[in-house]
Amino acid sequence: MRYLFIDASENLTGSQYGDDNRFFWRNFDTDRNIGARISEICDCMLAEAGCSLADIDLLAVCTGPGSLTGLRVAAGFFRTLALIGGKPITGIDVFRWSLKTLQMQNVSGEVTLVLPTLIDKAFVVSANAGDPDLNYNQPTLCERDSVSGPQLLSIKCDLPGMSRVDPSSEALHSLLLNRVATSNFDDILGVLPMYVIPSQAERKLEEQK
Amino acid sequence: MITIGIESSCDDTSIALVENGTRVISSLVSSQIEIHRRFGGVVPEVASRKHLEAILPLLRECLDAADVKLEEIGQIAVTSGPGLLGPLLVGLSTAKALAWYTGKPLIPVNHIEAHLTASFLAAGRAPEYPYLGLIVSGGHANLVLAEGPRQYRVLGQTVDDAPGELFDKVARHLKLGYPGGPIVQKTGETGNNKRYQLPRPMAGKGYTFSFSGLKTAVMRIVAHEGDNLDLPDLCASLQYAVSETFVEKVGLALKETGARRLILAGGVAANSVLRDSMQKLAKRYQAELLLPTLHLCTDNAAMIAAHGYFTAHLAPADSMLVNAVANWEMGAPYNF
Repeated sequence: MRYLFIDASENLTGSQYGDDNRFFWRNFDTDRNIGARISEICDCMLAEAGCSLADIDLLAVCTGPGSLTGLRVAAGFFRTLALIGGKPITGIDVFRWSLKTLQMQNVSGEVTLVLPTLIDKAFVVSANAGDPDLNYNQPTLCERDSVSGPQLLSIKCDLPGMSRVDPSSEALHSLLLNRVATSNFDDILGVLPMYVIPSQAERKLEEQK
Repeated sequence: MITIGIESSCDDTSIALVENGTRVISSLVSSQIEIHRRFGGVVPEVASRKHLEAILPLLRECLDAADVKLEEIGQIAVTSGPGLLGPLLVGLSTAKALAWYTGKPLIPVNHIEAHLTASFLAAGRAPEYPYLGLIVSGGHANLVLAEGPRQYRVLGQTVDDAPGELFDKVARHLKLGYPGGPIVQKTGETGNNKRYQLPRPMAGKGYTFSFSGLKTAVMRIVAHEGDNLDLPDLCASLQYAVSETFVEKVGLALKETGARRLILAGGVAANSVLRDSMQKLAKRYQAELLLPTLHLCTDNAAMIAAHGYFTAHLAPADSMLVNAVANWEMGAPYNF
């Protein structure tokens, strides 16, 4: 089983290749240029893996939260490949990925995951780190300074009073190797970026209601 | 050769298949007008989201409807600018995946240039040069002399609002709805176009356009007339003022450049008052006028495929590295 994963949720785009025997992660300094470089990234990854797209059994894409531009480009590219190539595709969100990482670090009990946004806010979810299904509640947007909850863990950054969790390659590999995905059209359409914050226009319209 | 075209520069997602740049095999458009109507205009973030949701079902439907296999497609043409960046990137990433998977050439297309090619496509012809092109839409009022593929001499453009934008703003002010162009046309159908005296902006000042003054003039009339305002007359007068403005500038261009072929393009080219006045103008100058069909006036992928076909020889070899750009002037180099 071989997979190709891409994470364009940040300025630095990450990609991971994995199969039954190995996996490797590479970073690409795409800054705001993911739209131009996405195919080049896939070329690099497949070349290093010594295979072609035809050999890939599963396409996987990070669904965020994160840069909506990057997430859309990656999802747009991989979803199209899945459709025309008849490949199964799956989405991996940062919260589930972080929870898997915590499980592999033997963290247990209730946890509060905090993912800062560019403004002084953060997405917050609570979950049971021991849950084998990696379920978590609906993300909420809070002021960074006012987040509270059991076992505060900040994702990919250091925040005062919180431990840090960096979603790991090992956790991703574990998630993807065991992933059941199909190339069913509806399943492909279901792989979309997470929209946690409504646009300004939507918020304004909601306020008017 | 079959070219697949992909368009997502604003609020229409579109996929089309065009043979040899002149015959539309299949052309589908998924419009977001109903979604954006409640905001009174296009919201880029919402548009991007909807493009991503719509593009794959449209791609599948387009291929199925035409009974064309992926292997039969010779090249992929995609709008890479100008337009809204987020929406553009959805189309571009889809096109790049198609090109990467099939190994077929990717041709980045300038959306505004493609609007001009739409008129030739409507006539089932390849572009013939030189010609005078008037592109009128929600974001543009450009008068250009096309001298060859991707070779344009910009004669004039708007210094403020575009005509489509003017119609949108006026329609919003009059609480007529969105989008403004079709509503203003419909409302003005029975009106007297000489009832309200509106200015002819930039009259006698070369090729430069300006429409914000017209908007202000309309608002003054609305305030002055109060309950006595005659909406059909106002809409008819507004369209007359806009079309007369174009008649003056395009007439000057036909005279000065000697061009004997005129192309009207863009969403506002669907306006019947403007179409009629351009027909009369072309007749006066014994010029050939090419008009897009109504389907080809608005944003569509068929024009992207056609323009891609006729400019493929100019596309860079490493076009897979091309990016989407919000501002891409007609004829300007490809974007990396």
